[in-house]
Amino acid sequence: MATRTRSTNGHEHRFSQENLSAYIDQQLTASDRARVERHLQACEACQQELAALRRTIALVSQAPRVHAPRSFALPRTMQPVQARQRRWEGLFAVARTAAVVASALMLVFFAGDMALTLGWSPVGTAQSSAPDAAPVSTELVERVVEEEPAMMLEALPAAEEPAAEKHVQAEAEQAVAAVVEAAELAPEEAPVQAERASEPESEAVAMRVLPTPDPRTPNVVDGMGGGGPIEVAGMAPPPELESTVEARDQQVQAAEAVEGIAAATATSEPTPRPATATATPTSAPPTPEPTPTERPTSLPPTPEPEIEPPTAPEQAVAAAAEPAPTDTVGDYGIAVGQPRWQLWGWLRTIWMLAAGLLLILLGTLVWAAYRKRL
Amino acid sequence: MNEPQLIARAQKGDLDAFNDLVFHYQDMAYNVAYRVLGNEDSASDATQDAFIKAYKALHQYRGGSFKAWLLRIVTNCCYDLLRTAQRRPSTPIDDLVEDDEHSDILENTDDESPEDWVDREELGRLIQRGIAELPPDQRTVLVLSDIEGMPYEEIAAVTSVALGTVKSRLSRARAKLREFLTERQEQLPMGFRPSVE
Repeated sequence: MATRTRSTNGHEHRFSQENLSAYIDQQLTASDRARVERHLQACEACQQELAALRRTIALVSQAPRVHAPRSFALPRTMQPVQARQRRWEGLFAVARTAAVVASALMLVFFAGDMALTLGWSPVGTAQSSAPDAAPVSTELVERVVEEEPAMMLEALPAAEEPAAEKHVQAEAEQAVAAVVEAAELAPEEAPVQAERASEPESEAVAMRVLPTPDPRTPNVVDGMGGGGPIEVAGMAPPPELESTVEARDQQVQAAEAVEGIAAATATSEPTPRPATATATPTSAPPTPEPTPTERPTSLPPTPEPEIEPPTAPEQAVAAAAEPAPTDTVGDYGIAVGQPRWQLWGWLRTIWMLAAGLLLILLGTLVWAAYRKRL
Repeated sequence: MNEPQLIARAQKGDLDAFNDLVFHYQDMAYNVAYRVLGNEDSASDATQDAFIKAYKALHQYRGGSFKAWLLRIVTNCCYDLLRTAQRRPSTPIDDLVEDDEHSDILENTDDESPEDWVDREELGRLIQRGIAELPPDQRTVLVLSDIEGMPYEEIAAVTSVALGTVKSRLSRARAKLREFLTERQEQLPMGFRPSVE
């Protein structure tokens, strides 16, 4: 019993000793405080310890305070360090933004460039296997029809922007597709289209006319081919005079249409492609014409002397029979389009160089800023 | 002094605003450094280092007690110096007590008699020797509590430890200091000796 009391007291004594400091500072909970006070009443050693602790604390608090022997204010030289840091941070932010913008522009540009380069291969496939590619071409033509007015507006003023390039490329692809599409058209439809090529609002009708499949595709292809070397290449000469005449008609109309559209939309292709130029007008003609025979007479006067339409049938046959008749429309396409294409090519080169330099500059800047920070 | 405003300006790089804060806190910072390090030169070094670090790290200050934030930097600078001193025992940090210039930095109150002031100076030397015998973590807690008069919560914020740890460290520090002073009662100035016994 006595042992147990002593051990209990020892436990309480240790608790009291450990908590006297907090007891002085009134940092004990009510129960702990009561427990310490209960022990203090019974333990003289703890009472003495408490008094000694209080005295010690009082002594320490009476120790004189020291004051700073000098001013610890930071010198002015500290300021530029921060100012410089902030300047770097500002430069950093600008460089970051510029890098993002430049990267986006480059991305758009390269995407457009890629599409332009690769965009030709599906067209080539469509030429070799027209029936398979027909639905795709139809879609493309429809898109051309929808987008053309916008492109006409955008192409010239926004020539420096990569976005414009995209449009132009899209236009080019679709125009080529349209050529393929036109190659599948019926002869009676094709001349009609050519007839109306000079009319302004022709897109809607083209949409209606183009998708129609036609069994007599080869003939039309020949006739149409007079304007574009691509479609004509490898095609047999036309057997009938009438179809040749029609083809000539189409050539004339197409040439005029090319002239008009090329001036309006400024089809800025990097490489001259007469076929495309021919295709664009052919794919955008209006209402059907009932009588094909009237066409020669109703033709408007053509500016080019080489295009003497149906007046000389033999010549026409001979001209149409040539495997690569690049004469009229091809001449038109080159004459009208090439300067613009060249200009566009220069713009592309300049833009590419500028963007590349800009990226290098930004990379160096960011790297330098990063090093500076470290 | 509008402290939050000064801090905000200083955070934007305004050196004058920061120096206003320095003027306000430098005595307290130096006092803590001096008591923890026990040496005038080391205390000056630690205080200056602390203010430079505080200026550079000001953007990391996220509200709360600026005093506690600043004192944490001060005590960390003190620990750095203590570690350096431990590696180079040739510069004993506890020799401050014999520092001849010690009285130059002591604060004097106008209404204090010269005798009292001398007594207090002696007391200060003795207490400083007692503090120097404590381990650094107990030293810091004792200085912050019994010299700076800071509450437990603020000490916990400065030292980044739990409240219970502050309590136990302070208890042990006070017990050791009591023992130290009891053993040297005859060295205490006459006015500070226990009246009875």
